[in-house]
Amino acid sequence: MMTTTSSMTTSVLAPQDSGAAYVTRPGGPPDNGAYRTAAYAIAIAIYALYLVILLRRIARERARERDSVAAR
Amino acid sequence: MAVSLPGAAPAPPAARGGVDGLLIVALLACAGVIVRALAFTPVDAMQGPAQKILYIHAPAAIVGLYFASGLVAISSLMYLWLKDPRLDRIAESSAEIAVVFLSIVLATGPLWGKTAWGTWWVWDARLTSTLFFWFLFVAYLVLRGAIEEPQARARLSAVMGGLATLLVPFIHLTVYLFRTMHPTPVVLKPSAPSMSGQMLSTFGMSTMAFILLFAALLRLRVRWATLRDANLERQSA
Repeated sequence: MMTTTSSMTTSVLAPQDSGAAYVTRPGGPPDNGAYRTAAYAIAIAIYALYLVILLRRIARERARERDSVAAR
Repeated sequence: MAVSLPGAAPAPPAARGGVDGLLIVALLACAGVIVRALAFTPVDAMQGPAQKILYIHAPAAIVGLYFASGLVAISSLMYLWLKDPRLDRIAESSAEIAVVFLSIVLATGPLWGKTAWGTWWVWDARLTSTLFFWFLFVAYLVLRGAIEEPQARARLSAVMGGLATLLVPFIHLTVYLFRTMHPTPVVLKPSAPSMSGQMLSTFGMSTMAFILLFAALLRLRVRWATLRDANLERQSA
C-alpha cells in the first residue's frame, strides 16, 4: 500500500513526461480520448469478428446439411 | 430439414439464413449504449475520456467471468450428472463466448491502465489471475478440439470447465486479498455504488446490453453446435 501510494504521489508531483498518458491539459481533464477510442474500436472489432465467424460457421453447416440431404 | 439430434430444437431463423430478432435487439442495445457512453455521459474530471473505457471493460468482465463462466460451471456439472449432450453444447458455447468477452477485458484494461497508472500492465493479482483464467478457457477449447470421441470429450471438458471456474471467486476477491493496482468494484460491492447517477445508469445499461449480447451469441453458438453434431451424426450413420 505504501509503495502504491508513494508511486502515485510521485506521478502526480514529479514533472510529467510528455510521452505519458496522464499529462493534463491546463484547466481540464487529461487529454486521453485516443485511448478511449482505441478501446471501443477494439471491442467492436472483436465482437464483429466473432459474429462473422459464427454466421460463417452456421452457413457452412447449413450447406453441409443440404449436401448430405441431396446425396440421399 | 429438422435437426435429428435428440432434444434438439429446430434451426433458428439465423441458421436458416433469415434474421435473428434477439441478435438484432442485442446489437441495437449495444450500439445505443456506446452512443450514450461516448456522447451523453459526462467526462470524468480526474480521469478524462479514458474513464469511459469502464462502460465496456467492466460489463465485459461481469458477463465473461460471472455469466459465461458460471454457465460453463453449471452446465458442466449438470452434464456429469445427466450426460445430456445439450448441456455439453451449452458449456462449450458459453466457454467460447467467455473467451471473447475476456479478450475484450484483457485488451481494454491496459488501455485504461496506461492512462491511470502510466503503464500498460502490472503483474498484480487481479490482472494476472484474469489472464490465467483466459488461458484456462483457451486450453479448455483446445482440449475439446483434441479429443474425437464425443463422450470422452464431453466428460473431460466438463471436469476441466468446472474446475477452471473455481478461479472466479478468487479473481473477484483479489482486490481485497492482495495489494493490487486494480480498483475495487464500483458496483458489485456491499455498499452503495461509488459513481454519479448518470454514469451509473450508463454502466447499468451497458451491463444489460452486454448480457443481451451474450444471450444472443450463446443462442447462435448453441444452434451451430447442434447443426454440427447433427451433420456429424448423419455422416456417421
